[in-house]
Amino acid sequence: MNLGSRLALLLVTLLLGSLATSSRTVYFSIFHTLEEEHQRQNLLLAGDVKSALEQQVSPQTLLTQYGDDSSLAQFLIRLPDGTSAELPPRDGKVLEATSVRVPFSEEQGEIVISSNDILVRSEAREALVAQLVSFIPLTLIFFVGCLVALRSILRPLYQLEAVTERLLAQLRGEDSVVELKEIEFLEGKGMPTVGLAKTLLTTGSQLHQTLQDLEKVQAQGMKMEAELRLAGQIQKGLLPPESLKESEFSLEASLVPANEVGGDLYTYFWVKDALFFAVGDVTGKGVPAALFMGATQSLLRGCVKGERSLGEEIAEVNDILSTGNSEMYFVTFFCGLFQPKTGTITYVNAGHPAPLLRRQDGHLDPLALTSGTALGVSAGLDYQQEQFTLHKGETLIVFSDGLSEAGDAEGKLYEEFFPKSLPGLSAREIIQTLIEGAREFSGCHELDDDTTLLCLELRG
Amino acid sequence: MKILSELREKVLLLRPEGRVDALNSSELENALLPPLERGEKVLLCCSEMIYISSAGLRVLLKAAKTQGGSLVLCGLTEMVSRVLNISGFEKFFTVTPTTDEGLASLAG
Repeated sequence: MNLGSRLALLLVTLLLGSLATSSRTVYFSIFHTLEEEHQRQNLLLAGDVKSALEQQVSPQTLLTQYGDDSSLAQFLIRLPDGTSAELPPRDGKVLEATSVRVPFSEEQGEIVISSNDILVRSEAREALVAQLVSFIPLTLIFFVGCLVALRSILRPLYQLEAVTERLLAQLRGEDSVVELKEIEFLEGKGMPTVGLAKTLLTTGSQLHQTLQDLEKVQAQGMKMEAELRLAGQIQKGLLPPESLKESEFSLEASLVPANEVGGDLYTYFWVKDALFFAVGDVTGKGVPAALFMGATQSLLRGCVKGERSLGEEIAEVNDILSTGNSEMYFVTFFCGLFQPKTGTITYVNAGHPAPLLRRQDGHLDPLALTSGTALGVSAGLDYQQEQFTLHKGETLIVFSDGLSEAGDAEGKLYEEFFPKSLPGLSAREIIQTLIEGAREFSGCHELDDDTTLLCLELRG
Repeated sequence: MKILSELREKVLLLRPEGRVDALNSSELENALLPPLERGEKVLLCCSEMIYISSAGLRVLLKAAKTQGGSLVLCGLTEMVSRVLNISGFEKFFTVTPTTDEGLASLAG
């Protein structure tokens, strides 16, 4: 049974209840009125009888004349001489309230007239029914009015319920669409709860939209993530192996990207009898940096051939990178040509942090250098090459600023706290120690920026 | 990062505060490039810039190479100065020690 039927039932019960209560009251009021009316008539009758007796009409004649009246239960005439005439007993009792007793002839005689209770009661019932019948149209109008009012109150609620159900279905992802105008239409009905419902449903709609957007974004994100992972693998494939061990020297390198793809690079390859090696760091992070990194990596292979001076060859790389680079991506870059037999390193620096030189005793010194401009910013620049000799037992440590600029919570940079000396460590151990040191310093296992290290050690 | 901005003697004075890195360098780009593209004079005061990453440097380079307006840097902290020096970008910028000198340089 729904709310509407229950309320209608309640209404009918209340109506019947009040009708029953009021009928009782009305019946008694009618009954009393009838009693008074009968008493008045009986009094009039007694008056008539009294006058007739005074004119010597015999009681018997009077009894015959008035005794037919079925409403009478008692009709008694007692004469002063003691004789009396009385109606025979009838069905029904004397209704005391209607009884009249009229004395006459110096109170020696009396007339007693009473009405019949059965008759008065049946008259009262008839009057009540007549009155009730006359009320039927009014009651019906009242009842119909109540139903109409009830319906107008309940209908928006049912509509609201239906809208809510559809909205829930929509939220569950079923094929259902709820529009705000449906709720606004309900608000026009002046329902106080609809305002609240509207807020809830608006929030619900927004939530639904957000969920849909989120799903889309999530799907896009997953696709993007998969592509980035692949790109990261391709990028890794551009790098040579992390380790190169020759009889005179060993080279160790490590690149820890902060994201799937990054802007750091290292490379090495043989150019005639010398080993070319380089570490670079492209502006920013992510996909743009990775694309620029890939371009740089390929250009180095194409341009560094040992046909001209290293400075000239790097200047060519810079010229090509600078062409059409309106977004001003650039790569800071350190590279060298290493002659294993003599330990000579010819190097060019393009805006990169100065590498460290680990002496035989383990002491760390920055490599003295003249810094050129980072690659990719401006074509036609000259790059100066310089030279130094790596002695036996010494290690050249080239790194990107992911290491030197690893910051702690107070904004201090790791380069200010580099170890002063790293005695007795292999090239690989130096890399591990420095990366671990940067992680500890920044208090975070994942470093913020791509971090690259390349160590070149001339065996003792 | 917060970028304070005021107009002084027809020069737009921008004062970034805090770190400029890959995460927020676009904010600096949005503050710096549009006025320069409109041909305005911009003085970038770097005295409150405690750190600039290469992503921030890229924005400065882009600004320096924008046709039309003119850009002067002033109040470089040791850190910013060193970064410009290491990257070899000093030659692309007009740098003055103080704000007044920067304004004077742009007034010419």
